[in-house]
Amino acid sequence: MKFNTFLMSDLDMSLHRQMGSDRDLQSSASSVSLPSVKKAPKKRRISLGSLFRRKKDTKRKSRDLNGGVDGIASIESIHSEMCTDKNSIFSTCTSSDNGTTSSSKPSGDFMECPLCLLRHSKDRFPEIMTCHHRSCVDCLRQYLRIEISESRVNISCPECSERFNPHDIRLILNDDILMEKYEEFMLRRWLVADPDCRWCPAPDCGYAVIAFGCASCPKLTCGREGCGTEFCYHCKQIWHPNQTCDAARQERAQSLRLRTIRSSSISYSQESGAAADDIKPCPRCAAYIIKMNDGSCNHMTCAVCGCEFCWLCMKEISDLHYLSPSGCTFWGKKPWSRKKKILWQLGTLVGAPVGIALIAGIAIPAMIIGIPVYVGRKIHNRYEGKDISKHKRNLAIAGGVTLSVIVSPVVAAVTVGIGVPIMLAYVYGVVPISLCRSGGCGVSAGNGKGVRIEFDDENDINVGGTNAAVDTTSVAEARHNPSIGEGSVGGLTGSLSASGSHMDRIGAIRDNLSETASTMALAGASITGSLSGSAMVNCFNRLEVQADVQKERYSLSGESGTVSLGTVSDNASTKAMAGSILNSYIPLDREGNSMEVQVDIESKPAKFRHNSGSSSVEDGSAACRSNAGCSSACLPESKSSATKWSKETTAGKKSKGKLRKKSSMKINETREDMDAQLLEQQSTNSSEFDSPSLSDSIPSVADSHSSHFSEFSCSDMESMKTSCSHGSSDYHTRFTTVSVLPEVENDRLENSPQPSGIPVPVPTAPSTDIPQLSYIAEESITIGSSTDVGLGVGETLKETNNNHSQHAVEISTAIQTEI
Amino acid sequence: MAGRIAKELEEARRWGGARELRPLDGNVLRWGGLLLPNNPPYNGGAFRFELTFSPHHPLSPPRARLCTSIYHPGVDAEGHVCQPLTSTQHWVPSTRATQVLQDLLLLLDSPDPQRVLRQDLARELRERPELFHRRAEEHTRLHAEPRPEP
Repeated sequence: MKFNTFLMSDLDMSLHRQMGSDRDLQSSASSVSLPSVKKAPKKRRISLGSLFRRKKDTKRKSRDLNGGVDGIASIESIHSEMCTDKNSIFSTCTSSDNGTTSSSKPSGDFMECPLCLLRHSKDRFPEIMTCHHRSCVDCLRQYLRIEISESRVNISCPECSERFNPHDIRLILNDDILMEKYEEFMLRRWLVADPDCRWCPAPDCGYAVIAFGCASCPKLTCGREGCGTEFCYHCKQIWHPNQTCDAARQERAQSLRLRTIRSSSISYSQESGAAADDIKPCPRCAAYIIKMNDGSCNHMTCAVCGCEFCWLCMKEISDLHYLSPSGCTFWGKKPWSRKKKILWQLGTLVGAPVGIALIAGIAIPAMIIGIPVYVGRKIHNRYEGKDISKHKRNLAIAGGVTLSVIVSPVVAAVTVGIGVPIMLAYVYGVVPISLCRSGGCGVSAGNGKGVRIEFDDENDINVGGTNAAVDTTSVAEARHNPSIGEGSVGGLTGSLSASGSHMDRIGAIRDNLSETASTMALAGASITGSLSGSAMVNCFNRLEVQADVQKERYSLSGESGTVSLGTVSDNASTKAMAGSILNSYIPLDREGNSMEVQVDIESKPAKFRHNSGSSSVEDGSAACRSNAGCSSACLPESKSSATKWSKETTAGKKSKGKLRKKSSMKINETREDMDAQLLEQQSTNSSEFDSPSLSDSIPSVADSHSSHFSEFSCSDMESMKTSCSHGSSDYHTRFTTVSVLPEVENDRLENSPQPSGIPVPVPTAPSTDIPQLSYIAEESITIGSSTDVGLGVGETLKETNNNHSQHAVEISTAIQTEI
Repeated sequence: MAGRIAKELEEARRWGGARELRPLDGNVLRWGGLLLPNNPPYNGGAFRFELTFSPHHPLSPPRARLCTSIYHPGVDAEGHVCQPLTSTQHWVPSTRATQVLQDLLLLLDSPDPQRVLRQDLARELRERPELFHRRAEEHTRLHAEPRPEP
């Protein structure tokens, strides 16, 4: 029979016929076996695809598959071949079939979907190219919808951790809108991770600019037509000509304050009822993170960039962070004040040798004496009941005692020789390293490209807290290069250096982007402190901070180490202090070109003044000249700020004469405002330097860039969920997500060792809706007992450390506001 | 996926490890029941639990909670338990509710040193187990529900 070719529908495929020369095939006829052997392979090849595409537009499929007669024939032949039972194919093709009729179907190829626990025919299980798990298409679709609606982009198989191929997602989803959303989230996620990406600060503009190499020419223009906002590359705020980033920020803050007072508007941080200290920016990517106070632990993983940090001290950490007495425990609510931390660290370092010596001093004599005595007694007892002459017994005893007297010192020596080094290694190795590396002292290691200086504040206000980021290797150097901060203490040297010198060191925070930063001043509070003690300067070696700039990024002739002030304070004094820490900066010649120069700041008062003056000049320069060249140039182009700066520094010196250890922050406290604190935290700069040396003589030239850390503007808020990786006892979290712009979410299995949690929508939340506005999803979670945290913290730490790898993690959610 | 939950309820009832298993307030997303541990010191009583499912079940994990006060290192004062199986990281949709209940019962029967919510109890169990058992038995006698006849 001849049939006309129609658009084949799956439903009709049960029967088909193929005519050799007939190009028209119709599937409605009774089935005809297809003899053509040569078509067999083709059938198989297409069968998989056709199986999968069966769910899609059949018309399209038929058209696609059919190159011609043969194509059509092959499709039909596939179908005829595939369906051992015509009815089964017929029924399975019904989209409405949800397995309810499965019982009526002949048992062909049926599988039970692990999600809905219902049986479906095999063709309703889409092929996934990344793993072998199969779920029915409805369940998968539902699953994908939920995941995308919650802006999770690392969607993985519901049964394993293999991520879906986006192609698979597109095919399964069959929904263009959702797919677009998914792609947008992916894009956003990637953009956030790109250090060159700058979001337009205009209120309604969601555009971003990828500003490659724009540090030297920081004026950026939004590319969206109708927007065209100009903004500063460094501080990401509206373009502020003739002002440094700091100055502009201050001005903005002031006007905002006035406006707030007048209108008594609710601050952003209160918007969702969260306390201000519940929202903190990620130390690496500056995305805002809110941590719900549900008992989850303090080890956080940023959902956007994946960096792990401690919620209490806001520094990137490693596992060692909670091992050493850094003040941060898994469930602590408040990090130790600097004083406490320093005391603890000092105490450990000082007390450890004492303790070890004590133990050794007791153990060795005890062993040397005890072992022979014990042996003698044993022999005596052994021979007690025996019938041996007294003489022989005594001989035996004497022999045994002599032997043990020889052996016991050896044993004691070995024990001590092994135990003591281990303990020493821990105390002097692990503890300082973890402190330095994990930012216990405020030093945090960046992503290998540099060290980030973070500022800690004694009162949880990281205003001007400067933690010099130092490579762990430089700890030793610290001993020899007491930071200025130490100097200011006027007495603390070696010991301080040893334990906390890194604290006082000022590392250059290197921002990959704003490299050129000579404008980066290390806002070392310590620096400021040290600066204040100009007298001290004499006593201390300069800190040489060498920042390795990413040369490839800049077209400047030289890469200048950018010393960035963690805390940006508009205070000239702060800047000056920051400037005191100079890595290497490029002196700016008159034309503004930068030359690469290694600047070692000598601790000479005279020079100090000079330098400070010159650096302050830098402040005066327009913020836009915040490239390394500019900033590095201590070239005096005196502006008013210079004078202001010098005055401040002088004042600073005086005021900071007090003893300061790591709490060099105090100095900054007085000078800097909250902005600086926030900036520090947001500072994403990191720089590497081998032996940071800081001299307070040179004020930070880069202070104009210091503002670049001030990314605290609410316009930048993004909500994120982060997860705490140490959730040994807290497996459940309560979190709230507010997303105005559904953006980044933590990925389900972002970090394999420390998976981040996934927020689960609660009945009240329309999780399946694509949130255009903020929505709140709450998940009731069990809360680990925090009351017991205080007890046996050490054990907890151990346990949690052991557990974290296997246990889930707390989830915190961040609040995202639309720009 | 209410169909699945209904199926799982049947399956869990067939398991028999939990007594009086039923939806609370007519909401099939919340189950209540009684667990009867077999091992001392808790085998003298029955413990009421609640299992709350998400509307996206099985894509989101259910959460278990003990309503009866228990002297157990893995259960905190509010009844929350440390259960990796239902944590967001480890949850897979192919896990059945019966398995969740089995895991909960297992936790009660054998406290796991890795799943600890109360450090003091864990330490006591570790260092002075006889004291711990005595106290746990006492607590069970005072606070647990009476065991129904089998």
